[in-house]
This record gives sequence, structure tokens and C-alpha cells, in this order.
Amino acid sequence: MIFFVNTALNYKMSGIEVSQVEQIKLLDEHNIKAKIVTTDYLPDLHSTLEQNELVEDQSINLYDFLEQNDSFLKRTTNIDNLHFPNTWDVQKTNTGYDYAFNNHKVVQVTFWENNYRQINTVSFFNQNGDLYKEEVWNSLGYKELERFYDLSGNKSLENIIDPNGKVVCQIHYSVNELNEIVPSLFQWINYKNKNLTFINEEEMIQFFLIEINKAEQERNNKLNYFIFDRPSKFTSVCLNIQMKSYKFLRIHSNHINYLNDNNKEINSNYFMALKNLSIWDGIIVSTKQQKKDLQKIVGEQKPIIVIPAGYTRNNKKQVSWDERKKAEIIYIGRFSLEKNQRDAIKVFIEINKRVPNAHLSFYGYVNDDSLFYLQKMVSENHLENKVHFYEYLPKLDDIYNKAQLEILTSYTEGFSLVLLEGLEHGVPQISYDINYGPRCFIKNYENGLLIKPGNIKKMANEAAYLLENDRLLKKYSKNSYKISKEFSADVVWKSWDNMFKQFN
Amino acid sequence: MIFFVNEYLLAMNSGIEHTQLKRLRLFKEKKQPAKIVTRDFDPLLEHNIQRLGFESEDVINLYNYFRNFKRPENGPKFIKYMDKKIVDLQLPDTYEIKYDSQFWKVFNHGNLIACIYFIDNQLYYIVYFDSFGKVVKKIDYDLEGYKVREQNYDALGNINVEFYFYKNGDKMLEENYFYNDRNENYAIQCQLFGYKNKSYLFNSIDNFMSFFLDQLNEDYEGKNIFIADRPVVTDKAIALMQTKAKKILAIPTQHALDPTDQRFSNLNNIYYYGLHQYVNKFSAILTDTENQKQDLQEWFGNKITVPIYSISAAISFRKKANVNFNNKISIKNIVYSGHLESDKQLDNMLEAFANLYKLQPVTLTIYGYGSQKKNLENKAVELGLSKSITFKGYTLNKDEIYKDKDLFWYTSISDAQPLSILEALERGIPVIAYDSLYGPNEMIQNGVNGYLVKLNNQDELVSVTNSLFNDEKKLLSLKNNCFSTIEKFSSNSIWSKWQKLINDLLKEDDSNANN
Repeated sequence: MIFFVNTALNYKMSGIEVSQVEQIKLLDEHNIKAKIVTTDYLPDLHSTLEQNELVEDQSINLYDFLEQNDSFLKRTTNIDNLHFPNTWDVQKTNTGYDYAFNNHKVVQVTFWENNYRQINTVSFFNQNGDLYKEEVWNSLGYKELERFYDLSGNKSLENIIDPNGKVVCQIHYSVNELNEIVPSLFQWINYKNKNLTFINEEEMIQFFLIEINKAEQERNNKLNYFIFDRPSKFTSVCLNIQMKSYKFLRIHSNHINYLNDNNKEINSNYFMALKNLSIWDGIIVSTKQQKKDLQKIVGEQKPIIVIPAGYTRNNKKQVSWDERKKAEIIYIGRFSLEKNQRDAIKVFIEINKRVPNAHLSFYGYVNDDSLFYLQKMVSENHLENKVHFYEYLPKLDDIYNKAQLEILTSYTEGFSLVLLEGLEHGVPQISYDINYGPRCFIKNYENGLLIKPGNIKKMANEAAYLLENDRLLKKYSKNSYKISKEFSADVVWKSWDNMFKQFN
Repeated sequence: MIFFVNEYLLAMNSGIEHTQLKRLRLFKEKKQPAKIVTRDFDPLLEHNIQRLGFESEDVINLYNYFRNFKRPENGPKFIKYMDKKIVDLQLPDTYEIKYDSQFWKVFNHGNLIACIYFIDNQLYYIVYFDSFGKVVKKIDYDLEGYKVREQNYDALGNINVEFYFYKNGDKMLEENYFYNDRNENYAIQCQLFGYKNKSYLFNSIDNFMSFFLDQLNEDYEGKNIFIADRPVVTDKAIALMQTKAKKILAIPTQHALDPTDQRFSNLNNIYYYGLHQYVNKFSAILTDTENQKQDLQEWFGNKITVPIYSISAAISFRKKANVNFNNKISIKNIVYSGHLESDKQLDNMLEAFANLYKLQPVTLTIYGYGSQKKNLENKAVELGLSKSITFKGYTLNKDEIYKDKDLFWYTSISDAQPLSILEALERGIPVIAYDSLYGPNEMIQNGVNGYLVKLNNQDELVSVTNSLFNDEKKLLSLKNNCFSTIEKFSSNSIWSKWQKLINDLLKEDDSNANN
């Protein structure tokens, strides 16, 4: 069994989750069983799995495991399930229903997708108007979490409940010296007839991983593979875990801190992981180039394996050039300092002087406060009707198919998955030549251009030139479709296959 | 059925519980069905009932009532404390247990995670510690080893939410505790699950208790009577009952704020609901003494429509006196038994004793528990009389209290009726008491079985006692008189008063009360 370990799988997926999901599907096609392992409490996990076309068998969440839930039957719920006294007044609101008694609010109910049909949260208020209890009903339709608040409005206790209504886990919260609310005790109730206590989340996750490893071992007697795609969260868990299995460190971004290129400071996400190499059986990166660079730091201590984080299916219908929107430039990526959308806006300011009908559309989810500054920059330059900010979309096919140009100005990347996606959809690309990725996907003057990082004027000029040159763009587009075949699923499967042969 | 409703029944009880227990004994003797009803959860309740000499069926507790509703599917699970091994506590084998005298400590990876407490070789409760070493959870177990209650504490150490469980592990009750800005608990919301297939939400413990009393009322056929023996905790719950029943409000303390003026001073707040807001829900008000009945009537300007009955709480079950007297002239022993609280004015008693001691050698023995115990012990030391003043604590053995004693002293400024005065008299021990409200002047006959002294007149207390102790013949005559002066407190006398009250209530037209 291949376990891809993560904290969460949410509606808004970063490159790491997208990669994990795609790898699981690929392995499945080659009859290798793989699962995504998540350790956070995720009330809508099962909708997210459905959305990603994964089956229940391809996921294992710590709390589902604890609930010993394997049926995942979806139930319909609505407010009739709640049995509130009929002496309470009900009012329908934009988000759900409000219940009041003696003119003060007692309960507030919200629904998944605001559909008034599947209960999401039920919040309880006392006579003073304070929230004292909250229930979370998951996307499968049963009450899974009860949360209790203290008089300061801080959460104090959480009960995790199984589909039969039994409390299977309790989490107590306290306040640390920095005045932060932190979990201070985890208890599993009646797990295989035992009551277990964990004083921190690490201990609990360790136990969980050991248990799922044991369960799989008993089934097929081979060593399992655990791929840690988010090492910063799991290195301490792995540090002294007594578990017989393969453990791989998976590096999804640049291992060097991009802000401090001269000093070659290790990216803080990988610092502990690389300092404790004894934990790992191997390290996985996405490009040959990164393997070479990493080897300079790690030497021969651990094998470094190259498995691209993504692949193409070559099943995208080739879009004719005329169907694309004239001078539509796209920039895909979460809004964060690292993705450096600032430079993209600076580039566009220059492009706009030459190509007045050009538009720049950003797609992504908010990761820090950079979006606010980006919007400010746009309004200061009076480009509100040419530069657009759009929410994250799980499926971007239509967006890629309508674009004439994709640009990327990130400081650093692990794989540049967005460029691979653009390639797959026949979108010409101009990108900073950063580590790592662009050099894999962009062949200068064939499907796009690599620009020295920071050279805004150059990128703007090249982009403007291309946008004025429809025939050139058409050629780049055709070449894109051709080049994308080099990154097909079969190629990626070969890297997995080699790795299995090496370790088995 | 007649229900004596209270908050709790403890190991060390107050006058209210003793009143109920005496009344229960009387009713049982006279074959009148009666039960004590308690509200608070107490895993030691069964223990306490046995020690007090009663049966399990004599007492109904709110939590046990709902809990017994659902019996477990499998047989009872016993937690055995044998050979230092806990069976069925479901702890993983890897956890380390260290045995202490009072409790066991449970460790995992060197961290203390829980302490397990036992009582009489029985699992009592377990507390759990979080990573900061704070107690975050306490789980109480019943006599059969089933989990009964789980208390969860917040970061400040307050109870945040409590869960109660049926024996089969299902959730029975959820109690949410609410606090105001001053960190005071102002309400407890109760939610009952799985009772007769329904869930109920009560926004206060009073409403929950009221519902419980209604269930009890329906369980017993005929006209039932509920006596609110402890105001504040029981009067509202009884008054708010939805089903028809006869309700009696008992007054177990003085009713007004000025201890010397119970006719015109302001009403004690604890009677706000019983004597004011909900007074018309009651069919009768019960005082322990005739004096208090008169004063209470006067307090209401004689306009109160609810009849007031006075029936002594103090009852003597003894058929004959048991006077112990010795011919030898020896040091006299004074005894006091009661609550050690400030309204009993025991520092006043200690000062009087010190003055008496200057006149002749005497001893003072004080039985009882209370908040003033430490202060009084210190005062005895300060007065240099710690050898002559002994604090014996609380005991149920009444004979021990009064054995070889010559006199009972009573210096309280306020009471509904001091039960201990009758206990002394029925054992042939005369009483010298301050003439305070209420009780002393209905039990003590000057010069016959003791003396009444002007309230707070320490000098008179000392001189009367001194004279009495110097007159052996007089002392002996008082001792011999005691038993014959308490006829009106005999069980038969008290019972006929109860019979009248019960008959009056059952005859009463139903359309009057309960609306």
C-alpha cells in the first residue's frame, strides 16, 4: 500500500494535494493500491473525494478511522432531525434558520452549500447571548463534532461522534503561556476495547500511522510506503516512530529558501526533515535538476528519486486558435508572496502600453494578505477593468482553453504544475527561469520563452511582441500540444515502477 | 405518597436532613408511605443511606430515577480491586500504574495522565490530567462499576459541561454550565435524552427538577403530597410542577432578617419564591414552632390565605428516660451539639465558659462540624482553656454525645428549632439557653427542665449555671424532670398533628391550589 500523508484534503487544493490525488489515480491504473491519509478533522472530506473522483477506499482520515466508519452511507438531514421545541420562533435567513425564545436567539442552523437541506452547523446561545455549544454535521449527513465553549468564548472541549451517535474521541483545550488556545489532551474512547490518552497531537498521529500500517501489513505481508508530502508537519511524528515501513520525504517546492538565495539557507519546511535523514528511506523530488542540487547538500546519504509531481493525460481536445479570447493573459496560482504576482502586474502595466486590449486574469485562493496589496496596486494604476482577480476553481480547463498566453513570475517553484497544465491545454507560456520547472516545460521560441528572473521589461516586451503576432502564437500553441506528450502518465509511471523495483 | 424534597443527603448533615430523617422514621412507624427525594448527584448516596439506618427504597434521587430507566443489556460489570489489578477499566497494557495509599497513578511514557480513586475497595472516580498538568475531566462510577457522570473543566478550572450516562453507555443527560463576567455560575441548562423515547430541554435545574417531580407524581396513584423542606433548591421546582399535587412549604430557618424581630423586619431573600412569588401554589406552610407560626402570620398582616401549620421537627422516640446521675461531687460537664456556624454564637459561648471557669472547674464538649470550627479551636487556645474545651467533631452516635454530661448550653441567636435541645432533654440532660427565636421557650420550662436566659446576656448565663452547679439537689431534680416535660414532642403527639395536616390537605377542594 502506498500512503500519501497530508493534514487535509479541502475544496481549495494546493499543488501538493493535486499532485497526491493524481498520483493515486495513476497508481490505481497500474493496480497499485494507494490512499491519501489525512490527520485533520474534515467534515466535508467525502464531498471533496467525490469531487476529485476518488472512491472511499482511496482515502483514510484519522477521525474516520477512529469512528471505524467503512460504510460512508450518505444520509439526508434537515431541520426536522433537530427536534427543537415548537414554542421556539423560527426565521429563515440567507444562510439557514435562526431560532429564538423569549426574544433572544437560541439556535442558529447553517447548511452545506446554503441549500437548506443538508445541515452543516448548529450553534447554541445562552440567555446572555454567548455561544456555548456548536455541532458540526458532516457532508455524509450525521452529527460528527460537538464543540463546547467556556465563558471567555474559547473552545474548551470537542467530542467526535461516530455514525451511531457514540463519542469516540475527546479533545480538551487549554491556554498556553502565549495566550493561545491549544489542544491539551486527546482521548480515544473504546478503541478496540481500550481507552487511550495522548497528551499531544503528535502522539496521536504516531499511533494512527502505526495502526494503519499494521492493518495493511496483516492484509498483504509486504512493507508499506509512506510518502510524506508535507514534511514540516510530520517530521517530528516520524522522528521516533516505531513503525516497520518505508518512509519517504517528498519535496514539493525548492529546498532552498528563495528569499535568501545567496546564503543557500534551507527552506524552513524541510529543515528538520533534512537534518534528520536517518528517518527516511529516500527523498523524492520532481525534476532532475533539483536532484542534482539536492545531492550537493545530502551527498550519497539517501537515495534521491525523481518522480514528477504531475503528468498529462493527452486527452484534452485541441482548441482552435480562433476560439481563444484575444490577448487574454492568465496567471494561475495561490495569492502569496512566493508566487510573486506583483511582478506579473508590473509586467502587465508595460504590456498594456503596447497592447491596449490585453487583459490579465488571476486565478487562485488566498494564502496570506498579498491579494489586498495586489488589488491596491491595480487600482493605483487604474487598471481595474483590465486586471481581474478570480477565486480558486478546481477545474480550470475552460480558463486554459480561452487563454492566449500564460505567464509566471514566481520566485520559486517545486515543479510549476501550472505550466504543465498550460502546456497540456496548448497555451503559449512566458516564465521566469526559476528553480524548478519552467526549464522542463518551456522550449525557447518553440512554445514559449524563459526570462531572467526580475527582468520585467524583457518579459513585457516579449509578451507584447507575441500578442501582436497571432501567427507566432498559433505556432507556439500547436507545439505546446506536441511537447506535452513528453510528460504523459506513462512516463511518470515508469519512475514509480523503477522506485518500487529498487526498494522491493 | 408523601415526598420530603431536599437537595442532598450527606455523610454529615444539617438540621434540614435530620428533620426529614426523623419525620421519615415517624411516618414509617405509623405506616404512612413516605420518601425522601434528593436532587443532587452523589455517588455515595447509597453509602450514606445505609449509615443513617435507612433503606435504599426510602430515598429517590433525581439522577438515579432517570438512570434506572434503562437497564444494561448485558449483566453488571464489576470493577474488582484484587491483587492490585484493575479489571475492565480498559487501560492499555503499556500504561504504567503506581500504587499510592489513597489512589492509583496512571502514567503513559512517563507522563501522569490519570489518578484513580477508591472508596471501600470500590472504584469511586478517575481524574484526567492534560499536558499542562491541569485536571480536565472527572469520571464518576456507580456501585456496579458503570460510568455515571463525566465532568469537563475549562482552562479556568470551572465545570464547562457535564454528561450523565445510562448503564448501557448511552448519553442520558447533558448539563451546560453558564458563567457571568464575575466567573459565577448563574444557570445550568439540562438536556435529557432517551427518556420514554423523547428528548427534553430544560433551561434551568429547577425546571428539570420540576419535570422529575411530575414524573414521580404520576408514578404513584392517588393524591400525593410534596414537602419543600429546603427552600431555594426545592420550592420553585415544586411550585412549577405541571401535574396536580398537594404542596407544603416548610420554613427551616427564621423567615426575616432581624433575628430579634421576625414580625416586621424584611423577609429573608431565600423565601422570595416560596413565601412571595409562588406562595399561592402551596396548600400549606409548615413551621417547627407555634411562635414562628404566629410571627409569620403577623408578618403577612394576617392576610395570608395559605394556612400555616406548626408541627415540631424535633421528635422523641424514646419510651423512657435514661437518666445517668452520679452521687459523687465532681467536675461538671457542659455539652453542645450542633452546626458550628456564626449564628450559633459559639464564640459567645466560649467567652461565657471562660468566665464560668473562673468560678469553678468545668469542662465543655462541643460536637458538630461547620465553618467556625478552626476559629473556635483557636479561640479555646487563646483563652488558655484548650484542656477544658474539647471539639469532638460530627457523630451519629447520640448516646455518646450526651453520656456523662450534666448540662446542655445553647447560645444561638437564630434557628427554626434546635433539634439538639430535645435530644438532650430526652436523655435527662437539662438545658440552659438564650431565649432566642425559635424553639427554646417552647421546650424549656424555667426551673423545671432548665433555664431561659435573656438573649446574649453572658453574665446571666454564667451566674445561672454557676448557681445550678453549686446546688446538687436542684441539678438532680432538673435531670429527673426532663423526660416528663417532653410529652408533646413524643412520636404519638407529633403524629396526630401530621394526621390532621394530611387529612386537611386531602379533603381540600382541588380547584383552590395549583393554579
